Amino acid sequence: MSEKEKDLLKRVKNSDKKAFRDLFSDYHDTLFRFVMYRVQDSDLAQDITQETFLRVWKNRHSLIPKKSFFSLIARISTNLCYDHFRHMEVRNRHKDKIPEYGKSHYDDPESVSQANMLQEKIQKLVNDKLPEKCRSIFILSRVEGYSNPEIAEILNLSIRTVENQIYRALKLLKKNLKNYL
Amino acid sequence: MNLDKEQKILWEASKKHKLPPTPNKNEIWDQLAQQIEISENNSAQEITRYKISKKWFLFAPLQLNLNRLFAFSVFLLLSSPILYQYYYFDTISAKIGQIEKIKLSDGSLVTLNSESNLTYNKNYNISNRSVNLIGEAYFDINKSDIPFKISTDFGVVTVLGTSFNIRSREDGFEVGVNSGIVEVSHKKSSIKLSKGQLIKITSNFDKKVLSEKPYPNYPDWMNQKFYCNSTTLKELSSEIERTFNIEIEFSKPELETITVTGVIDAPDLQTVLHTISLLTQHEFKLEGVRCTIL
Repeated sequence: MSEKEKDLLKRVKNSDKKAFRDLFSDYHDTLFRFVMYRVQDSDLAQDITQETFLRVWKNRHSLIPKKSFFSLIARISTNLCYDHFRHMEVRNRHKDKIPEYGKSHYDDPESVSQANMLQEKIQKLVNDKLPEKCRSIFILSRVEGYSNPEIAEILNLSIRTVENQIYRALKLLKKNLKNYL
Repeated sequence: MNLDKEQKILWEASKKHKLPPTPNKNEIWDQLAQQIEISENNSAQEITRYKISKKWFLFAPLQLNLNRLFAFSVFLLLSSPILYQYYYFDTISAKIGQIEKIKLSDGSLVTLNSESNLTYNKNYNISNRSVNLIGEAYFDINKSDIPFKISTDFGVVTVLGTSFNIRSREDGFEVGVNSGIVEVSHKKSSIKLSKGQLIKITSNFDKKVLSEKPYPNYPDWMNQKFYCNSTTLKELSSEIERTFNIEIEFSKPELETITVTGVIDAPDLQTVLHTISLLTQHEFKLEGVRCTIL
């Protein structure tokens, strides 16, 4: 991870709002897409992204500057997603409905092409089946289009770990998507 | 990475994910900044509230500095008796010219005569029934298994359930019992008083006088009376000063030694002064809170 980010985190830890704004600028879009990939609802993704940054600021004193900031916000936002779905589940249960976790935004079946269908299946598996670290890496790579060394830097991991995790994700997807390939 | 054919398909497919346009982050930042401000205002209030509830927390910033920490601990050490008193005891005072009636949590009634203090533990009626008395008070104590203890400068009075009067002033100590049994102890000696008995101890403990209650409506101050039995005008005037919050002066020093005998009705100051004037055959002059006996 870069020295610049470490420095920003140190300043945020000391309640520097300007540094927090820089950090926000650097990560907002990535986090938004990361959350979007999970919740598939633009408004909800926006809320969760905002809440994630708010929580970081509220708990700024317990930040650890040498740890990856993206890992932190990915974890916070993931928890917020869980909270949201749990909330939805309770609401749906009262409506006698079976919750559809990570429901697709492709509502019209006619328009769903084969490729889209596969893409959708992948997305569902990534959200449901992949472990947290693996999922973050996979989304950063496939959605954000980051290279493996870039991901390694962002998440403060070795390139080898990033490669292994992507390979692991693909292996799991392949195993679960045999029928679509 | 070496990927097989199927993995390559997945690899490519996962890349084609369509996402809606990312919202303008400057607008989001403005909203976020607003939320931060709101939450910080709230938390600032929370911190103030916390500071009020835990008083010691006010001194937290001092702990940053070792010298100040030391100063703080010295302060704590010096003030601990005061803090202890403040946190564990309640004090009720009757000022000059006032009579205070107190009902304690066990139902016991205490009537505080003028210029008297009653202090009791916050655990009163839970682990103890201990009070501290300075001055004069009449006690009507409810029966209980926990003995009722009154500490005074002169000694300790222990009872189980009775009514009695304690007078603990500079000029001496007096306990008179209206009902039940009272134990008065000073240092190692102790004496039991039963109904109708009265003990008087001089301020230097050289004389102890145990007698029958001198008059039926004991104590006098509870019935708005002054009981005098060869009481010097000096002694009587100090009681009057306390009861009515005035100052009495004598035009000639020999007036102080005049003795008075009898029961003086004391519903108000004028009546008392007129009675004394009649008994002693001396005129008085009252100007505001200053009374001069001529």
